[in-house]
Amino acid sequence: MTTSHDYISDRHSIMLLTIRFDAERNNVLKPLNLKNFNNLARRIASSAVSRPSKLLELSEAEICEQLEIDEKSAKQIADLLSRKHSLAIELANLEEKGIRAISRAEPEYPRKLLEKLKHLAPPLIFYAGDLSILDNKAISIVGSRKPSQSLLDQAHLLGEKCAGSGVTVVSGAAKGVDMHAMMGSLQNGGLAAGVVADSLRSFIRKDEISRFVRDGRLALLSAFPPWEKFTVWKAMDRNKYIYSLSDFGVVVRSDLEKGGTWAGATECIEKNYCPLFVLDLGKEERGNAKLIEMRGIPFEINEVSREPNIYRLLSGMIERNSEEEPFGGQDVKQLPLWF
Amino acid sequence: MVEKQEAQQILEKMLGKGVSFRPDQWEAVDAVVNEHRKVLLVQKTGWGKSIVYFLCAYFLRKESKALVLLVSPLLSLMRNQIDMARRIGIIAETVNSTNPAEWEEILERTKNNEVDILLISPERLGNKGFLERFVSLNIGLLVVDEVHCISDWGHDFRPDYRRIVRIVSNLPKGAPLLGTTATANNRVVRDIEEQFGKDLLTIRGPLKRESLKLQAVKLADQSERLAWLAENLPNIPGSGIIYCLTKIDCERVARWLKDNSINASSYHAQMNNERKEELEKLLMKNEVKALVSTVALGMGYDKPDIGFVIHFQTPSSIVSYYQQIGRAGRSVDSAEVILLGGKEDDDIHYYFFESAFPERSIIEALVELIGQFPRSKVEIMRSVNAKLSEIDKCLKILEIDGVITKNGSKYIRTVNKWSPESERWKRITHQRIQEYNDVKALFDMKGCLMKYVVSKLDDNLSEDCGKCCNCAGDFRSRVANPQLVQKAAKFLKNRFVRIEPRKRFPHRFENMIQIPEHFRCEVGYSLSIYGDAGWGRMVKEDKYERGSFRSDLVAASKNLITDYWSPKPFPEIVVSVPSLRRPYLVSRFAGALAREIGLSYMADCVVKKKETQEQKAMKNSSMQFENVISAFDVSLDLGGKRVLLVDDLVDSRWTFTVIAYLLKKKNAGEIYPFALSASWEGGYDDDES
Repeated sequence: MTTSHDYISDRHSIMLLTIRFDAERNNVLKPLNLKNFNNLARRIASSAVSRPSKLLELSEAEICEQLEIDEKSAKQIADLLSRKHSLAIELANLEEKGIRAISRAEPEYPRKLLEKLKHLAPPLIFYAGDLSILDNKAISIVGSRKPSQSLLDQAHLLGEKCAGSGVTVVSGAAKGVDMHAMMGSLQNGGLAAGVVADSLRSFIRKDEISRFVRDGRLALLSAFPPWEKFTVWKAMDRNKYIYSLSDFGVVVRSDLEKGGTWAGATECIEKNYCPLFVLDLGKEERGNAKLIEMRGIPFEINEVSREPNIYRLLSGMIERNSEEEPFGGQDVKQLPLWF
Repeated sequence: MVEKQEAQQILEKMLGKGVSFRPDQWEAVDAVVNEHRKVLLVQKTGWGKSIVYFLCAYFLRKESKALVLLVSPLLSLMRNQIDMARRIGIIAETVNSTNPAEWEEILERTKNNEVDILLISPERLGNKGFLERFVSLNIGLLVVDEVHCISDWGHDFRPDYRRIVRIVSNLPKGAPLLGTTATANNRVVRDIEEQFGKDLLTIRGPLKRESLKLQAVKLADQSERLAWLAENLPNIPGSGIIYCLTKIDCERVARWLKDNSINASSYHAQMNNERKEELEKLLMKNEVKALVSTVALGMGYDKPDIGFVIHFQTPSSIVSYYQQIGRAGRSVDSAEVILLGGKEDDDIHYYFFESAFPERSIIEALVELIGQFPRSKVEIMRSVNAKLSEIDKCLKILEIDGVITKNGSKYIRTVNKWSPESERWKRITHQRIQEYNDVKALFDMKGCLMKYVVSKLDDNLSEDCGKCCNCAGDFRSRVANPQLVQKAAKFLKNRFVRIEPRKRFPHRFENMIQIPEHFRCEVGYSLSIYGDAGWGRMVKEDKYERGSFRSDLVAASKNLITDYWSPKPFPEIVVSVPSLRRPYLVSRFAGALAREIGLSYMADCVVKKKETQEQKAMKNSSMQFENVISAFDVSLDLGGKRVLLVDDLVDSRWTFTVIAYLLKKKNAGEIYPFALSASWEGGYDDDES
């Protein structure tokens, strides 16, 4: 069969399976967590069901029989899937605000997340703006919330350099370094993507943000439904998406052994999401110094100022500095897309 | 899986032994309940759409404890359906603007699976607090009643239906949907299919109504049509509905019929719900000969034995015409359907066609303004010169389209892109004019009227109806009795417009929001509606063509003031609103009126300091107020004298409000405003006599 596949139904199905709606906070019904979803996904792929979209048209008994799962699990799945009208109302509501969702089963889902995270890639992403800017070359720029003004200026300069080099800035859209880097790019005609934990809805209401989203130069995304509350875990969890979406990571300033920047940077080094550059601020800045010790690639802001193309600069430095091969993409076509 | 046999048993249990499905009814239930399809049901009124969703509700409840959420545009429809549901053992509840006190309890019961069908108005889906509540419900079927409203081409496009479209277009596969309408031609059906998705199953039945006898009668003006009604209505059997285009027409026609000893009442959307229900019941029990109504009484009003439907004015399209005549003759063998039409119909329709969509420049200005930074409504009003109603319309469209949203008291721009839709609006307006011309064609038609009407709804009859005036000859006269016409003309000249005093400043003024009571006007009057068949036409001619007001108008005004109105305590002096542009027009009239009544005229009491823009050009309250307050000055102390304040036209009422305020500051007593004409949207037909 070569007819175009109904990806929107895959998305609907995955949403129903994995999302708890805002109004359901107190419901007993439990959506599938990532691990359970992945288990189910394997069963779907290896059975006659074959795609998540097919589940939408099956009865509880058919789900039980075709997926070869127990009655209790089948009931849970059928109950989750029965919330179709609620989903439509929720989607309409989000659409009005300019928020959309995309699932791992769809071709437009950010490729880099699938390639690097595989089954740990979030089944769903909520976003505002144009996701295709993530297909671009991308550098993540992150750092602490309250660094010195001089470091904020340097973050801004890095963003500006990305704009000049046609590179998308990826960041956590937090106060301080993250925002300065993003604005450095956006205010100079460049592109930026912010990965947020909980604040998608309030973020896009901000005047200085929404105009760039309308322009198509800023995308905001989150692995969590916009109505869910902030947790430290979610804030930490998003680090892996920031680095996975980037070709290089740049740490402007990190505390030592505490804070989100530190956690994200060490995770990036350990999991090798992407080559990690660390601004060399001397021994005084102990966080940055330690990251460099741990395999972070040091660089100085002067080098950036001199070289017009930051992407070329960083690529060149990898060849000089890194003992290891930069991360090479695997052929994802061999995996089921949404697997 | 529900079998037809089982459904048949339930149908009999609901409606009585021996009742069987009408064509298509079972097919619709089957598609929804067994196949979880999206279904569009186009069937004539009285076909039995309600029983389809009641059966769906029954089986959904039985199979999955799921709820039917029914979106319906009109309250009268809801009341009827709830009554009917209860009679056949389906638990139906409604949350709408009339029962806020019960919302909590009903939603709680709904959540606990104690309700089979929840009826809501489209506006509820627009309310954010509600949306969230609906998400938590176990909905098994969404029914959109009068679904043609979602079509731009339908005669009844409502912005809130856009949100329904957005919900429906996001419905996952396998989520049943039922859209119903009695009136949709191919174009509307295609439009609905486009918006609801291509896997829609359309079930259409025949539209011809056997019992209706159609006649179209063209008469010159309102007086002739009033006369025709007074003469013919008593001879038409049964009770029925007379449709008018505007509220003020309803009030006038009803008053005229009462004056001619015909038991009629007006019915329109601005009435409170108790009154509406009371009127609906009167008609139901045949205790009133006719309700004179706007389209407010229509969709879903289910009286089986309506004997006639008369259109006092030409409706806007065949679709709405068919919808309205469909009220008649459901359970009687013959019902008379008479279309009257005349001069002012075009004026009214073109006014609505032109004001249906906002002006492109205004909506663009709003998007631009809010895009700069967040603004409150007062800030918007101050910087955009448009009527408040126009601004509200734009804000509503933009909010529903997700272009702007509220953040506290401010409007903010969302991340969604926007481009003006004026091309689409132009196309729709053009289409509407064509659809109106299709109705007007009935007056000169030689062939069968019913055949023509249903053919315009894309149902082609093979034979003529054999009953309409063209098939079987006229059954009612085509001329009006000249004596009655004269009487009607006189009647129209005595229908006055009440001017209610304004009570609030448009925004904080000298640190006040409310106008203190001792600074307000009293209730005032206007002799006519500008350009109407009573005195309004003469006012218009005199103002712009003759350059002075005729003595007829002075005499008529005196009669209104001394006999009809006679305010107590009576005014002592006459003061006129000055104008630099036509300094003598109003002052001469006011002087003549003062002499006629026997009061002294205080010329130049109020002076104008500078040229103000004409009030009609200054569109919103905030700008009008700024404009007017700085323009006038009261030169002398009034010493407690009561004032008759005279102007030629009243539109926003701000001129009266401001001058009264200034006069009162100079110790004036009561102030009674009087104008020769009120604008079309201005006052209320005075029906308290």
